Amino acid sequence: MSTVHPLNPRPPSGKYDRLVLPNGLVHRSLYTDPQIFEEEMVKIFGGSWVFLLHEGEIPKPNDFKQVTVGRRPTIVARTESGEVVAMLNRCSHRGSPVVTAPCGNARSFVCPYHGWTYANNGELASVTFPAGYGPDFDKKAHNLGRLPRVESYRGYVFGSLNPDVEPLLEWLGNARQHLDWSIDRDQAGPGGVRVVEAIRMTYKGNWKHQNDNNTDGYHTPFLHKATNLMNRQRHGAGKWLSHVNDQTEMVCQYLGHGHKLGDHRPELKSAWQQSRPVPGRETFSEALIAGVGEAQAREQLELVGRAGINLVIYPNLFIMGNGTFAVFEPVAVDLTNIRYHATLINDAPDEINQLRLRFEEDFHSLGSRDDSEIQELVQHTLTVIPEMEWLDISRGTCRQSVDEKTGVITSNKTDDTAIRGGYDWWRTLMNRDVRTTVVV
Amino acid sequence: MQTKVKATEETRYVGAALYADMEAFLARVRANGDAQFLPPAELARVERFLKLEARLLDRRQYKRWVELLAEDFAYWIPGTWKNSSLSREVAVNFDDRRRMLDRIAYTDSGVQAAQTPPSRTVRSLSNVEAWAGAAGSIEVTASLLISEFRRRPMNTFAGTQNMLLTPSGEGFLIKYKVIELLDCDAPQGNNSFIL
Repeated sequence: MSTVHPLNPRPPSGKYDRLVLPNGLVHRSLYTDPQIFEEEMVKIFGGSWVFLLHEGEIPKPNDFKQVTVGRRPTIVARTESGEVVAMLNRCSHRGSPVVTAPCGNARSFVCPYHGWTYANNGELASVTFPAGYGPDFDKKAHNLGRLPRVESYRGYVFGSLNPDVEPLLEWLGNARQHLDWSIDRDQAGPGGVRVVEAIRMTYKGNWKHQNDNNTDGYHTPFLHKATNLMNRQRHGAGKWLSHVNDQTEMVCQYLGHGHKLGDHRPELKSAWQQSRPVPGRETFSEALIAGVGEAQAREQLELVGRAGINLVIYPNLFIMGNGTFAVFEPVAVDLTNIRYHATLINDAPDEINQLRLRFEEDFHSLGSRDDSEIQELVQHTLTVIPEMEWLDISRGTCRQSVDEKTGVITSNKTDDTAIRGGYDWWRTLMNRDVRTTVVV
Repeated sequence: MQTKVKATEETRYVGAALYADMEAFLARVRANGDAQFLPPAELARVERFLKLEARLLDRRQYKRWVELLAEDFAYWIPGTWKNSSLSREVAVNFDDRRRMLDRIAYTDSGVQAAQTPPSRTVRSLSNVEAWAGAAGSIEVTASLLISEFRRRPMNTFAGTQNMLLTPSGEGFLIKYKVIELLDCDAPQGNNSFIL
């Protein structure tokens, strides 16, 4: 695999070299072995950067929200002074979760078991009936376990349990310009964005299936045939997913550090025109035109619809442009939850935000389920057929090209180039010794 | 099934007013303690209609089912349990007539992966209550239990089915169908059939 480059060095050799082979073969145990999954939860979802949430999910002082880091229940809170803190939702006393609500606004968290009270930055504020602990009780040693590293990049908050993890910007690397493109496209201005409560889905399959699928441009004409046919029958040619073949100008890219891109922008003419009509399309777009005039309305309507990128920020964030993002939540080796969020632009005309809400529902219910169906079937066959051990991800090896300056590897959108890169990074993380810890 | 989108499907009835009306309808249903319930004969007509609708969906007779939908039909499965909003939230499903016809074309294509094989369903409606709404309409709420099978295990979809019916000839048309799923805000499994 010609993914070796100063920015994508050959992974340190280790025990996982035998499961991810350089000729584009991945072993089935990566999807089916519970012990490998346990190790991923430490080395990937903990030992590396993990996406936690968007700051727009906790906009006000003292807002908090529960997320997962791997499987660890985690509270992300904005303190009174505005600092974003991430801490494991586990009382340092006897292990009870201290927060049961999925989100809320609180200056402190009171453990429901014995009433220990923590400030929302994780510091133990008081214990109940303190006389029983005597004068030498060290409150500071009993804070909530906090993630040693939490950093926000333009509103996207990442955390790590590895105090020695590389700087966030270095890790984002080549993915950063595409994340910037997506954020800048919103032209949100000083009002910023707000994040809509998620729609959640689950499938009985390994988290890497969906992670791979998001930059797999090969499956769309086949797995999404029903969406395809429906588009052509009902809405004519020219909608996304009406026609995909391997003559496309669209590309996939491996960006390094596990990050992957399906770049549809070469064929993006108009996000608004290329998307299926959503409920209220005429009402809201015509009101907008009446309000701001045709030219400006046309420009603003481009903030609705498939925007042209499928950006996977490893391991758990998926950016689709025009304010939509998804988060993968591994639950077990064969069970994954996904939360899908729309974001609204506070300073944009209301019509745009109304259309964004309806667009977010579009592919969830007219496409995504077909992906999860196949992932469940694949999970089953990989689990129960031990005689066939390998998955082939070699497509595109013969025609991909490497940018010598950036290390980015580019190939046809239908190729496995990005997926292959992701497994190089998987092997890098899994072969590396890592220390995960909390700070109290 | 009809195929191309017709001009009449340009669903101009969807907008802020519809959202407010549907939200108010759902709020009313959720707190319907003071309603003036229909007399038994009227209620029986409503129940007969609900059974027909349930049977057509269970038998996947979508062409006939569409005939039960009003021109300004809307179908809503909120993703939240309280104070649900169409103007602030994304729904598990929100279909106007056009999107519902998209959905039927998608499902009826015969090649939809998540419906190969198709879901077999049997739905039970119970605790049916109905009362008179504005302009001759009837508001209905009922407990809904759908047993669904494609492959093991069998699944259960449980919730409340709320409808706003408008009179049409001897029968009714469905203007709103709003389903409150018990697990609306939890991760959803394969829900790719029409509830």
